[in-house]
Amino acid sequence: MRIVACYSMKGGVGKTATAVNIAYWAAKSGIRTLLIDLDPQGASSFYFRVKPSSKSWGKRFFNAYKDLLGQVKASDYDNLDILPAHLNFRKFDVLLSSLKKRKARLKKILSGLSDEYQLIVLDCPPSIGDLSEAVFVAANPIFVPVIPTTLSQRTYAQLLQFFKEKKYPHKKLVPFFSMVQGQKALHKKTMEEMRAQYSNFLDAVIPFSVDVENMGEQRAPVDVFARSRPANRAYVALWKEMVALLNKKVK
Amino acid sequence: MPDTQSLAWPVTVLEPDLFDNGGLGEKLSLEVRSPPKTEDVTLLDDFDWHLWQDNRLLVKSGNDYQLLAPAAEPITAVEAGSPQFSWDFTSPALVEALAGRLTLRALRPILAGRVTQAWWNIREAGDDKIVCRLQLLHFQNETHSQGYWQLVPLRGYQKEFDKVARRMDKILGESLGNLPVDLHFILADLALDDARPRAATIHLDSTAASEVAVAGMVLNLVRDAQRHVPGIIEDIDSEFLHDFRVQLRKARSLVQITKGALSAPRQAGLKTLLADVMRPTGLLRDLDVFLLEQQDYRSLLPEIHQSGFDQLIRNVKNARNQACKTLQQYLQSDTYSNQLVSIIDLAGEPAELASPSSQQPIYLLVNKLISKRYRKICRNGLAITDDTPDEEVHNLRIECKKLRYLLTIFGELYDAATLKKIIKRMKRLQTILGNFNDYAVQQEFLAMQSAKSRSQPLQMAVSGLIAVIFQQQRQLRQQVCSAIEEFAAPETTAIIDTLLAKETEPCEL
Repeated sequence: MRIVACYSMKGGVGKTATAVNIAYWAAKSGIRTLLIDLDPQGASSFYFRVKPSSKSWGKRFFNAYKDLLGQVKASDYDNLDILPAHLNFRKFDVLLSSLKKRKARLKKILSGLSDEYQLIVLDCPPSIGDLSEAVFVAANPIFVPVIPTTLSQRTYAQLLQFFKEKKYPHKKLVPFFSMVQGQKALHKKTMEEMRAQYSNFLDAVIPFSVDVENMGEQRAPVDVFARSRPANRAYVALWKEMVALLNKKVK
Repeated sequence: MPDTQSLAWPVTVLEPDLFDNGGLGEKLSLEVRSPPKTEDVTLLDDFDWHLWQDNRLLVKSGNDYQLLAPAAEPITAVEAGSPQFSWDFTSPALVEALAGRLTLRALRPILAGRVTQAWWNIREAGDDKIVCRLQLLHFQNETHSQGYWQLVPLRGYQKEFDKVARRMDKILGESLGNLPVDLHFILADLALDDARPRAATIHLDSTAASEVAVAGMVLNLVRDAQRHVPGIIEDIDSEFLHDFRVQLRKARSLVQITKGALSAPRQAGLKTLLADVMRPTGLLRDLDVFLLEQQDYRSLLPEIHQSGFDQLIRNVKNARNQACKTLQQYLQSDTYSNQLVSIIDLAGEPAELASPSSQQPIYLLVNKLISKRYRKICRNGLAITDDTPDEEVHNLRIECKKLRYLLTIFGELYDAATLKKIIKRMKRLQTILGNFNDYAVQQEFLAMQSAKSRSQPLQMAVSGLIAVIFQQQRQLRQQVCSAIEEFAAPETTAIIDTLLAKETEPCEL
């Protein structure tokens, strides 16, 4: 079983859209996939029309994988299950700070799901704290969407610095460009600069697209309602690169 | 791991309308996932239903082939023509899946009918989320009509599933519970397995008088051989003749080795009659064996001899067709029916029990025979050196075969696990001796083909083949002694003694 994450310290960069679409493509490729919505706003659960069943269970999240499994819900697609988020997931940092071995906790609990799933996709909240660090330990690779703007460039540099300070393997971080507007000179320039600076950016580029925004209204991955559109092709290309990376890491 | 298990209801009406228009309740709606599809299908399998016995179904619909297995994705392929053997398929996945199961056997239709299949999603109003799925699977032909609705749960939607299940109970009557609804289940449910061809068997009473048991066993073997005759007459595959011959050879061997169990005239009569029935089958079998091995032989020859080999194959195929016709005529002739009736009459005669040998319990007789055969194999076998004439090696093969027949024909009298161990220990020796003999037979066969032809390329190809086979046979000859030593080891003696429930004694050399 592999665990991957979609993570960024910054909000609104396309984390959830990415998590939703790659989990969908993984499942469509026949991989038994679980998408865990760690973001208390629950956007990826919403996109898959899935609601959490119990209000107070978040407290037990890190106790036993069987508790976790009890909260899993099937999506409308074969091979894809969702662990929906709840608002009380916002207390995860506090909850983890009270636990022993808190950084390894998430990895340990998720390892119990290896009989059920081949791939776990973590959709993470935009923050940096105990939960994020637990994700950094559990997931590999960690996919980081980056909008090619000065601010995002700075945020990515901060994340690398954080990894360096905390001695997390920085090779886990796999950035890619998201919400790209080809006509903007700043976007082009930033992409060139960052590709020159960091060699590990994925080739696939997710465009800024109304189709991605429409996921909210359609409550489905892009492929379901905008199959032949550029945004969908971009997610397919992104998934293909990711799967190549996953296969390489397995070997 | 779904929260709950699927539930099934028998199909009475094929229309899904009975669930629609609010049939499932106001908040639930039915959405087509894969539209109802009805197909005329034929189920294919070999004579022994090897696929069926291995929980596989090969379903043909037009040119579409599907190999179904429980809890696995079906293997599908489109095939032009009508592939008969595993090697006739073009799909590598199908060839791989079928080859080990069908071996040399041909596929034949075993059942035809119409299969209807459809899937629906059941959605709940509000989030419009799929909460469970509904499947319809139905099989129908002239004699059978059977099918199921199956409600399939989705993880995390137990309450919704229960609600739909209650509605279904109201519409269709109480559910039958969790059933493994697939085509295999439906056909098993129709008692299709009862139609599976089975070997003729008799129950052996270990204390029965030897004459009664041996005559009964001969009769059973001859009846079983008879099951393969229609397949030979239809010329479906080479295994019908092979199995026919094996059963008759076993019967003949049994008559010979159980000397004294049957009266002398009965033994002599059966021996002659069985030999008479087997005699017309030898030529076709030899030709079949050569044709089955043709790819291996072809690969032994360089390019320059390929055209000569092609000519040889053409000649052998022609001879095979002729031999097949001759055998088919014989098997449909009065001569054959009369011989068969004579065998059955002779074997079926009431027991005379005129001699002590004929009266002794069968297990005692077989025990003695197994012990005797084993000791003879050890004695004669260990006397073989690398310089012993080939004739002795052939004799040893026949002795081994007799022991093997005894062990298989009377297997019911012994502990299955011990029996398996002995047969396993015999395997290497028997394979080597068998191949050694086959090489000799093939050289003779090829020499005969060469003598019958005037084609120089054919004669050259045959000479080349004979030379290679001769070398292979020489190489195999070097393995004979080590295989015998392996088989005659004290471990085998101990297993034989366990089988016969005796104290272990050293093998008499």
